[in-house]
Amino acid sequence: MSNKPQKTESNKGKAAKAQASSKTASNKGKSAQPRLHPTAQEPNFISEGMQRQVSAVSPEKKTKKQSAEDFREFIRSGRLELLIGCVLVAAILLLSLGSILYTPYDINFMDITSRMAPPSAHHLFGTDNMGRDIFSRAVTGGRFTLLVAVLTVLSSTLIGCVLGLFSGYAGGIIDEVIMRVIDAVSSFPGILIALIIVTVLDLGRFTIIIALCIMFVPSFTRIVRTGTLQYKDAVFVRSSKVFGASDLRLLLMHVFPNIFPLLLSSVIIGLSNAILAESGMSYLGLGIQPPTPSWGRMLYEAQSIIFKAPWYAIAPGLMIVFTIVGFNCIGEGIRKKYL
Amino acid sequence: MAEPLLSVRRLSIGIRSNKKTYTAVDKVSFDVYPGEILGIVGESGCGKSITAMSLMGLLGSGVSVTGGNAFFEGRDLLSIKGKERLHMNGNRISMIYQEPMTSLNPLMKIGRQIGEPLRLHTDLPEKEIRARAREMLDRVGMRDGDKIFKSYPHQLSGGMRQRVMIAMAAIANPALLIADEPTTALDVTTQAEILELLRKMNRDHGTSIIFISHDLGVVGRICSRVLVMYAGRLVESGPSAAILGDPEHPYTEGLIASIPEVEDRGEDLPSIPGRVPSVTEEHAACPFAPRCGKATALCSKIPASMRNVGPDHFVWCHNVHGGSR
Repeated sequence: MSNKPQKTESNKGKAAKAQASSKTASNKGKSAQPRLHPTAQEPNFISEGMQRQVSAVSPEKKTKKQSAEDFREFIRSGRLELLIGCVLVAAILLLSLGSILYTPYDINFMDITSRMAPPSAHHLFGTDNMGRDIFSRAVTGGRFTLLVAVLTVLSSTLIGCVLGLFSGYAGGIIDEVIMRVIDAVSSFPGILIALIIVTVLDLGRFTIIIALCIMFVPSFTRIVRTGTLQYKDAVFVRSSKVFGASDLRLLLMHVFPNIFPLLLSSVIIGLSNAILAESGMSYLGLGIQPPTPSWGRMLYEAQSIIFKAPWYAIAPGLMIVFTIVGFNCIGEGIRKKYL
Repeated sequence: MAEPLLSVRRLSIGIRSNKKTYTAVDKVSFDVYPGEILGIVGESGCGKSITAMSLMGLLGSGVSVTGGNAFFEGRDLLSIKGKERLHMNGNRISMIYQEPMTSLNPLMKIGRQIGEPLRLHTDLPEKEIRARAREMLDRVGMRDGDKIFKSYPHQLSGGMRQRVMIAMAAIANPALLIADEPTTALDVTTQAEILELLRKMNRDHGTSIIFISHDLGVVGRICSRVLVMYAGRLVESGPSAAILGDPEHPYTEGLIASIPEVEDRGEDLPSIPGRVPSVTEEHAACPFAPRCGKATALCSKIPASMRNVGPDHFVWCHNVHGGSR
């Protein structure tokens, strides 16, 4: 109750100012109302004040309102998400790629005298249980994690596109067979597939890529197939047939470009899923092998000393979170803006 | 008369559904001569479009040619496949249809899109293709050609898109153009412009046109000869003046009576009672018999043979008397 009269007082002042700036007979009567019942008419009062701001054409206030409108548009169109995503991903990429050229310490250099040192000016993120610099390892780990993620998503997108386009376009028994195989693959738990592949092949960076690729192919195949079904009977696709385009050209020139925006947003989100999956695999010891650092591997190692050196878990954890949020923001932004 | 450009003989098309084959087009024969505009008219579901699609080799799944030939430049259009078909479509024979709003790829600029047939059928360098595509825009009467050339389809109106389609269909200079209701989706003034454009193409380049429409008035304005189809069969064919001026078949008479005339303002528009039988329905010997005012017992028993009632004017009806062939 104490600040309400105050508020109306200030609004009264505003109204008076606004009225002074646009003295017309029509709104004189209206502005008299709130003065009679200041508290009851408060919302109405404010909106009228705003109306007058517009009609008064004071350029400064107009831009203020416009910029508010612009900002809402900015958020609604997904550009804010794109911006946040790009900044986060760019930062992570810069750090990771920069690690090729320079890291503060050698990633395998063990400083026994400063084991499990907390973050400081010497060691930005502290050191681990063997005295290795966590910052150096985290950015280098990013390189391997991202490499695995990008290769996984690229190869599974490629396979998914081929299968999806072919399956959707051919239809009939071919479609049925491909899609049932895809269903079968996606019904396997990913970890199980990884275990099988690791047993059959050898542990290593490329094994994990193959395993993740098999996990990711089904979703891309489904997305591309759905898009193909949507566009293969479109009139413009039929008309390109009328003009003598071969099936392959039709798929690549007319069907695929129209699916592309949808695919792009799923590819970006797929990247973040791949990073998560790789981290999960490495955490379980199925992924990247020591001493090569990876975020998942680092989390696993941090687990045993979580109370003695919590910063060891925080560094790769934050890297993963930022990357995932970044990629998801970009994916969502693309979806909102273009679809 | 000269050798026909396209000669369709006893074309039959079946639609397969529920393990039964229904006849959608029944032994239709006609010729298209070089440089003429042939109209095909009939109500919706008469088999006009499906006839056109069969010539382009674009019948959907479950629809197939069950008999007949269509000779065009020494080949049978109904049986060519693969490379030969690709060579034919867009190059020697082309088609435009009634959905100008959706028949262009939304992601391809107009200029690039118009050049597609040339890109597919010739080895011309890209620069030459672009020049020709640009020239086509002028030929189809587009003002602001340079701007249109760089536009995307969504920036154009329906009429403009139909012009683009015509430009695309005509760029490789085909011998035969099939226009499947090209003006149906357009407003009347645009309709007239598109018709004029087709007529100009026919005049200037000698392109033969098969003009499919359900609008006898439009067909009468542009075509030299007209085929009237009903339930997948030909019922009358002849020069458009004869068909419009002196129709013999009761169905054609009904169609012409239902063209609105200025003098008949305020009166009810006559219409043909009943509707076109669906392909899945069994029809009598003459499919029109149930709707025909002049039908006799004979009509439902024996299919009518072709009768010659005037120069190049044929009709399939028992109640029309003329020299039967």
